[in-house]
Amino acid sequence: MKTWLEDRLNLKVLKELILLEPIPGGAKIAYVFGSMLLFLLILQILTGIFLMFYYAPTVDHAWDSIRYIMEDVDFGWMIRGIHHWASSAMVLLVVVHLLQVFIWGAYKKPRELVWLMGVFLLVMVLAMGFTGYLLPWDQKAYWASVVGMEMAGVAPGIGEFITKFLKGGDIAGVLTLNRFYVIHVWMIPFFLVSFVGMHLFFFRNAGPAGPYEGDPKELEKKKEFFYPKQIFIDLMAVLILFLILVLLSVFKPPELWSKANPAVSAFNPEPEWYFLFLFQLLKLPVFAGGIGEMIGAVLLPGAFLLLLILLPFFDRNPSRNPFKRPAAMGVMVLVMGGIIGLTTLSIATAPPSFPLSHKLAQKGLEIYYVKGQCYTCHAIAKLDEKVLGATGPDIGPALTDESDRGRTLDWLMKHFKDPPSMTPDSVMPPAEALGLTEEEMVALSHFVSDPIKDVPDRELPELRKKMGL
Amino acid sequence: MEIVLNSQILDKTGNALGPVTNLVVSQSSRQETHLIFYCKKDKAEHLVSLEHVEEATPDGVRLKLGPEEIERLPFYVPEEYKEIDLFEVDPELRAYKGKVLTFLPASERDIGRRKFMAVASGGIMAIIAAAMAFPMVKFLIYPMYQGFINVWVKIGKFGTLASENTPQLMKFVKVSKQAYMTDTVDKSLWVIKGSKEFLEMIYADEQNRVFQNEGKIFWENKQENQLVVYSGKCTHLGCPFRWDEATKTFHCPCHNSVFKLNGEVVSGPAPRRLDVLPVKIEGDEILVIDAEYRAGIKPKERIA
Repeated sequence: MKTWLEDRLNLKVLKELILLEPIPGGAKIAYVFGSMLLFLLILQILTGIFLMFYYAPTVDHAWDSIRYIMEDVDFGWMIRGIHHWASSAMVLLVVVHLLQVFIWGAYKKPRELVWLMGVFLLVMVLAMGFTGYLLPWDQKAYWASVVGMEMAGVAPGIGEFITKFLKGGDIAGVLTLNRFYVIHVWMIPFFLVSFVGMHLFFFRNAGPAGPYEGDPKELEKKKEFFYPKQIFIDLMAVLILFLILVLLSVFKPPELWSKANPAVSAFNPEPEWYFLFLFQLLKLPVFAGGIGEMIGAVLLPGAFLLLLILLPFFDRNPSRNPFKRPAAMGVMVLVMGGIIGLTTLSIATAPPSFPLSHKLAQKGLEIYYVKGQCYTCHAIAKLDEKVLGATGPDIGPALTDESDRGRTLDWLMKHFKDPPSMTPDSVMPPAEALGLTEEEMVALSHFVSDPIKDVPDRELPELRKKMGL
Repeated sequence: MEIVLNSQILDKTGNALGPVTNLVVSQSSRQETHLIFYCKKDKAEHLVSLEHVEEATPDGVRLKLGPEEIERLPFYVPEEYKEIDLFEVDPELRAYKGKVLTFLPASERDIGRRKFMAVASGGIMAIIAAAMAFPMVKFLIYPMYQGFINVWVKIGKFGTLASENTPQLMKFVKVSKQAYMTDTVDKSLWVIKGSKEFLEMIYADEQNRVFQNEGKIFWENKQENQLVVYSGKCTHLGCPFRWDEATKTFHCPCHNSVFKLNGEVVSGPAPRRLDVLPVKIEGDEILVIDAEYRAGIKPKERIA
C-alpha cells in the first residue's frame, strides 16, 4: 500500500516539503502561534459548516434557527459555543502572531511576502468577525452591524457605496443579512483559505526566521525539523486551546439576545470586544463631527493598515534584534498601548447597559404569569391574548411597550423591591410580599424589558397548565 | 566561488588529493558551508569547511591547507548528514540530487525520541478528533429521531359528506411545526361516510383500526364515527389518486394502480392496500392525524 501510493504521489518529497522544514536553532514553545491559528481555522470551517445545517439566513427565521441550535439540537450549544469563542481566539492569536513576527524582525528580507499575506489574513479575520456578528440577528448583532456599516459610510468617495453594498440598498434588513451570510460563509473563506495557502508556501520557501540573533553555525548545529518536535509542542498548545474553548462553551455559552428590532431605540449598541478600541476612538472629542469622524473611522485605521502592508519595504534595517530597533519597538508599544488603553476605557466607561438574556426573559415570563401573578393588574397586548385568551386589566400601567422606556436593571430592581421609591403613587405590592427571590426579580426585569415578549408555541401548554388554565 | 562536483581537491602546494564527492549546505543560512572529498591517500572521505578553500578553478579546488593540516581533517560520517531536496538549495549550485547534503543534528537521529513524539502527536490529534466526533454526529442526527407528532387536524365538516360509501376528497391546510418554524402545506385526504357493513369490513382489520407509536397504542378508530379516511398518497410511489365513479374504484394515474372502495388492490404495482388514518369527530368537525406511511413496500411503516 505504501509503495503503491509512493509510486504515484512521490510521498518522500511531500513529506520533506510539509514535515521536514528546518528550524534554525531548534524547536521552541515560542513558535506555536501559527499552528494554533491553522487549527482554529480548521475548527471554524468545521463548526461553521455544521451550523449551516440548521441556520436560516433570513430575517424572519435566523434568530429562531439560532435558538433552535442553542436549545433544541443536541450539542448545538457546543458547536455554536466553539465557533463563537474560536472567533475571539483567532483575533487574539492573529495579533499575538503578528506582534511576535514584528518583535523578532521576521518580516524583513527575504520574508516580505510572508508578512504581506499575513496582513491580508489579519484583515480577513477581522472581516469574518464583523460579518459573523450579524448572523444571529439579535439586538446586539443588529445594532452593532448598523453602527459598523455607518462607520464605513463616512469614508470619502466610496463610503456611501460600501454601506449601500453591504446593506443591499438603503435599509439594514432582508438583503443585508443575506449579504453578510454569503460574504461570511463563501467569499471571505475562499480568499482566506487561498491566502493561508500562499502564506504557508511563501513561508516554506523563505524558511522559518529562527532566533533574532546568533551565530549561523550554532543555529545550524542546533536546528530541528518541524516534525516531530515542533509539531508535538504545537499540538500540546492546540490541545490546551481546544480545552479552553470547550470549557468556555460549557460555562460561558454565547448569549442570544432578543430578536433584532429596528424600532427599539433604547438598545445600547456595542461591537465585539476586538472592535471596541475603534468604537472608543470615535468618542474622543478630536474625532467629533463629519471630518473628525472620517479621520477616526476610516483614514486613521486605513493609514495604519497601509503602514503594516508597507512595513517590510521601508524598514530596510537588516538588524532583527528588537533591542537594536528602538524606533520600531517604540511605535509598537505606542500603538498597542493605545489599542489596549482605548479598549479598557471603553469597557470601564460603558453605560450600565441592559443586554437582555433571552433565557432569563423566558424565565421571567413564567414568573410574570405564574408566581408573580402580574397579569392580574397589568396588560401585555398580544401575549396576553395568546396566554389568557384576552388582554389583561388596566389596574396597573400596560407593559406592552415597557421595553422602549429604557429602564436599567438597577431601576427595575429597586422598583420591584419598593415600588413607591421609584414611582411615588404606585400601589404595586413589593416583590418580596409576593415571595419573589432576588434571582426571580432579575428574570422578571429581563422579561419586562424584552421587546419581543413571546412564548414559544411548544411551551404554551406547559405554561397554561402551571397557571391552572 | 563555484565548486563543481568531481573536480580535484588540491592542497596549498598544488598536489592532487582526490575528487569532490558531495556538498554540504546549511539550512539555517541557506549557503554551502562544507565540501566532502575522497582522499586517495587514506582511501576515506573527509569534510572540509569552505573557509579553507583558497580558490576554485576549472582545474581543481585549491585549499589553504598544507599536508599536515589535511591529515587532521575530520572524516565524513554519513549518519550525521542527510540528503536535501533541491528546492531548498541555491539554484546556482552545480550539483544534482543526492549529492547535496545537510547536517542532521543528533536530536533528529534519535529514533526512539522521534517515535515517541510522533505517537504522542497522533494521540493528541486523536483526542481532539474523538472529543469532536460524538457531539458532531449527535448534532447532525438530532432531527432524524424526533418521533412522530400526533396532532389532530380539522379537515372539514361531517355534514358536508353526501351519501354513504361515496368517497369525497377533503382539502385542508396542514400547519406543522418544523424545527424552528411553522410550515403550512396544502394536503388532501379521501373521506368516506361508511355504511355499517362497510365500516365493519374495514375495521375488522386491526391495521386499519389500531394505531401505535413505539409499541404503545395511542388511538383506536371507532365504528360509531361512521368514518373511514384514506391517506391521499398511493401506496406505490406516493402519487395522488382519484375516484372513478363509473367503475367504483380508486385509480392512480402514475402507474395504473387500482384500488377498491375498501382500499384493497385490484390491479397494478401497488404493494399494499390504501392507508387508513386515525379519525374522530368533535361536534360536526372531522379531525384526523395526518400520518404518512412509506410508499413502495408491503408493510405499513410510518414515516411522518
